[in-house]
Amino acid sequence: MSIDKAALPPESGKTAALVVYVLFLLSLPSIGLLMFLGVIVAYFQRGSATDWVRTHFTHQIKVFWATFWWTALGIVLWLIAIPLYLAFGLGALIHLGIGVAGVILAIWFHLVSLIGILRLVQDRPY
Amino acid sequence: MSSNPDQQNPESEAESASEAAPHAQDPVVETPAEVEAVPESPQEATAEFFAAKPLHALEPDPEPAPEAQPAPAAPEPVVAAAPQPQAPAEEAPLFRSITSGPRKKTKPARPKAAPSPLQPRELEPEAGDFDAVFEARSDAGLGDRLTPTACYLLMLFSPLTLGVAAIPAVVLAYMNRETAPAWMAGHYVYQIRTFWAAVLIALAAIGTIFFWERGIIALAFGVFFNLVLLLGVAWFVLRAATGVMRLRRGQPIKDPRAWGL
Repeated sequence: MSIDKAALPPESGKTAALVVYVLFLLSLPSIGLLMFLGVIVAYFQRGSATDWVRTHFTHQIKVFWATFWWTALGIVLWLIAIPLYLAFGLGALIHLGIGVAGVILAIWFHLVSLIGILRLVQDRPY
Repeated sequence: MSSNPDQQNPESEAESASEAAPHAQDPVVETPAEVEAVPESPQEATAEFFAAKPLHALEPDPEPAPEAQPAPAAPEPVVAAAPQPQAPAEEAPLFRSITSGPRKKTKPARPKAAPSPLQPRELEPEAGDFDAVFEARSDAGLGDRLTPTACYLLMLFSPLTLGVAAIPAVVLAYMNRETAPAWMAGHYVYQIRTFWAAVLIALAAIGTIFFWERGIIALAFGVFFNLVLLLGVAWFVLRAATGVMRLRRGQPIKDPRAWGL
């Protein structure tokens, strides 16, 4: 991309980064759909943002992929554990572990998004 | 034969105990005429014995107390006092399923003449072997439990499908509730009530969405939505998990109309 970084306004992309954080925070009630929308916005706005805003977009993309792959692993393990209820009690153990890990993942996701919003509105890089 | 109440399970029901009497006393018989009446194969014997008996009453006797023992409080010395050369109860696994592959047919035949009247009940091949009962009735390892097990597994699958998979589960439960035996109908009632309670919880959580426009309390309702949904899903999954594990052991739901775990 041939964007002249020096010609960018000093807060270029700040509103888009704020929108992405809000979409992240609304992703749990929307069963994760708004998180996909947010990361698409982040990918599109990353190139045209100033340096300190671009750190926020990079952070959002990292958070998205971490959440995505951990959730995918949890879903696969959940499906594997269902027939294990018939073999022995291992299925319940796996489901319990997935539930605890999912709560921890959700808390981490919301905390990281809130911290990002707070730093963004103070004009600080992540 | 049945004049020996000490060998019966004191916790089992009275009518099942009276029917269980000929089977439980089979190794004790010594006259040849009665030995002839013993069924040939253990599968036949199992099917005949458990034909009219509720399946949840098939738990092995926790305290086998022959009449030679003065008190039924010492199960370990009983086993040690009568060691049998054939102990198929140890080879038969307690928990078997369709995932464990076909059942091996290496179970030795029951001895026609019992060597000792003090032979404890738990060394008999059929005592407490639930899977032998189910396989005597059908070739599928789960037997009659197949439908309620499928309902439970659909309920466990349903959080990944946003609850859609719970609908065939509850339909199956409604269809089979009337014709199932009593202990299995309890499982169906439990599934149906779990389903409708989860529907109410989901509606309550979704209902908080309509308060999100009200300015400053939007965040509070967002947190409330997430908490209600999280706890509701956890309650639903735990109910299904505990239910399928009780069904796996052949146990009934103690109170199908209760809302706890």
